Amino acid sequence: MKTGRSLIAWGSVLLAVMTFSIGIGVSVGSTTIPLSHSLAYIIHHLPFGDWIITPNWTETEATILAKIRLPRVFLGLLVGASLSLAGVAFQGVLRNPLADPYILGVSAGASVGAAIMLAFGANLALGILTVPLVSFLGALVSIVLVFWLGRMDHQLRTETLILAGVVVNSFLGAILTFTLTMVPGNKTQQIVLWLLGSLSLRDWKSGIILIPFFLLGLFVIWAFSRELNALTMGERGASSLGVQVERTKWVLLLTASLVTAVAVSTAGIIGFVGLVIPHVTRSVVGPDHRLLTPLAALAGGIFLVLCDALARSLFSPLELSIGVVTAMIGAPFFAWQLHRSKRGSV
Amino acid sequence: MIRLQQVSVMSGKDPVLQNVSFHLGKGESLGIIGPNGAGKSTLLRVMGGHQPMDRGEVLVEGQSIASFHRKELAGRLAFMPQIAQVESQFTAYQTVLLARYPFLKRWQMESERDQAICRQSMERTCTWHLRDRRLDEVSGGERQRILLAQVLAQEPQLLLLDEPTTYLDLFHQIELLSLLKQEQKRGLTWAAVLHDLNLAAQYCDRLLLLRQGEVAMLDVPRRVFQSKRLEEAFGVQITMVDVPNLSVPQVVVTPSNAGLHTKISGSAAP
Repeated sequence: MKTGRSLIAWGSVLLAVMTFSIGIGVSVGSTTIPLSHSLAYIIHHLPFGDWIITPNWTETEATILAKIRLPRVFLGLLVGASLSLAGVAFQGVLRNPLADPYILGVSAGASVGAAIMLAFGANLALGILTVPLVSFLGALVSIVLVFWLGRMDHQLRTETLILAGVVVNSFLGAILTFTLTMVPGNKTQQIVLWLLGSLSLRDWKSGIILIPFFLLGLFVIWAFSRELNALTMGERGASSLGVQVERTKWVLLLTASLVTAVAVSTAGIIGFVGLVIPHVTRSVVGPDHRLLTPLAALAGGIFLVLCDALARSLFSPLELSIGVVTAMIGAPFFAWQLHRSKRGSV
Repeated sequence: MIRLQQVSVMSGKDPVLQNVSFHLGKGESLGIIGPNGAGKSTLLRVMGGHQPMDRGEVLVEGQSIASFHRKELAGRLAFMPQIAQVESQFTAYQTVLLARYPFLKRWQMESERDQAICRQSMERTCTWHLRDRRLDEVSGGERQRILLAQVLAQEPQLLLLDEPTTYLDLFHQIELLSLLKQEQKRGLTWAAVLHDLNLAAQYCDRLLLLRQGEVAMLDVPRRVFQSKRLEEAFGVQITMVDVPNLSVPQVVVTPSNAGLHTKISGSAAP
């Protein structure tokens, strides 16, 4: 079948690019590790890899790779893939190429939830899942708010939706600032750094928490790809094709919010990944969500790993916040999209 | 095929449809006509199960429409909504392939048979040559034919169309309605909201005249055209004419003095 073949072809290309970007991701930084060493190290640690590779790295390099670089790249892949996956779902459900978790205020809602937990009681009943779950609640509140504000005459229009996102974003921003002022001094710095969006100073654990949520999100959104395809015919069109539109919308919005919230709770607000990557992927592989969903997730992971590598190397030894890099690329792209959609060519 | 019993739909306190009852038999075609705001589109949505009713019931093949699962319903009944602008970047073929949704399970790929059905319905609507063109790139007439191919690929027994000819020029209007007529010969039942009374008369077995949410008349075109109720509903003067080589009558519409009066001045006669 044609779809299956394209999926395998594009998937292999992206997996190759991903391997390459992981190599770059673990090599650059304050201490540069030669690509040959880092790739050898990775392959060595894969199953049966120690048969092929003889160690050529130093003890220090091994420590940096295992303790700092690899967990970071691993987290970057998962966060990027999660945000991009959420973007696919939001854009598909809202039939709006400008929708993404950041612009819709879902990221901000999640960050308010997470900030409150970090500030006042991170170690409550649910252990390491407390922050992600409270983020999810925050994300839910904000998406309900945006929908309530954006729904005019029973229609979700692009412009009203984006305006509603702006309103909700700034309202949540105020709550966030308020939280920060009320926080005991020693925690402010920690929360601000986290908020700016960063993959640094994270261990393997923070990436591993993401795995089940990401896999669940990928499974659900991919499973609904035919519904997402049908939704391009409009809600009534999809409904007469046999889609249970309301149920589909809520399943997808909830899933996308969950995936976003968990990513935000570990890496802070990283904007524009969920906007740009699904878009670029769509323009390359076409609008079929059966292809788009997994490929956009892969591409999102690659993009974030490369952005992180840029953030670390551009002004080395100074490290930029990764949110800065994605915004530098994403904001102009968003402006260009808005311009295009104003001309009615989207 | 489909039977409506005492259907009423309210919008707030105002009735949009009142006590609408009729039956549409298998292989029959129905033109829904009436002035703006008479409830034509609402009626069509009710028939498609897209509109909640305040009273009454719709039976599809003797079974209440509400009791169908959405997918089951989509296997019997297709609805072609009025689409002014399509944002879809799908190709024509991908669009038509979406019609097989009701027949596929999750994760299931389209079979050879699904593809054959889509190809046939595209060939019947003369859109097979457009298969790789994107839906937002084709002309309005081509797009409407592709959408028709889509609803046909759903293999419905009943097809509902909301103003299918609105964005089409004369040639394409005739072409689309002829296609429907041709499908009707294969057993399709269809109902369409139409604004053009003459086209409705030529292509529909019966016409249903709606006025303020009520069925003012339901009969063959000639009787509807002869009736005073048609003039009253539209507030215009209607003269029926017979055209050589055409079995159904056509109408010529002229402004009605009384109608113009109430509509424009809205006050007492001079």
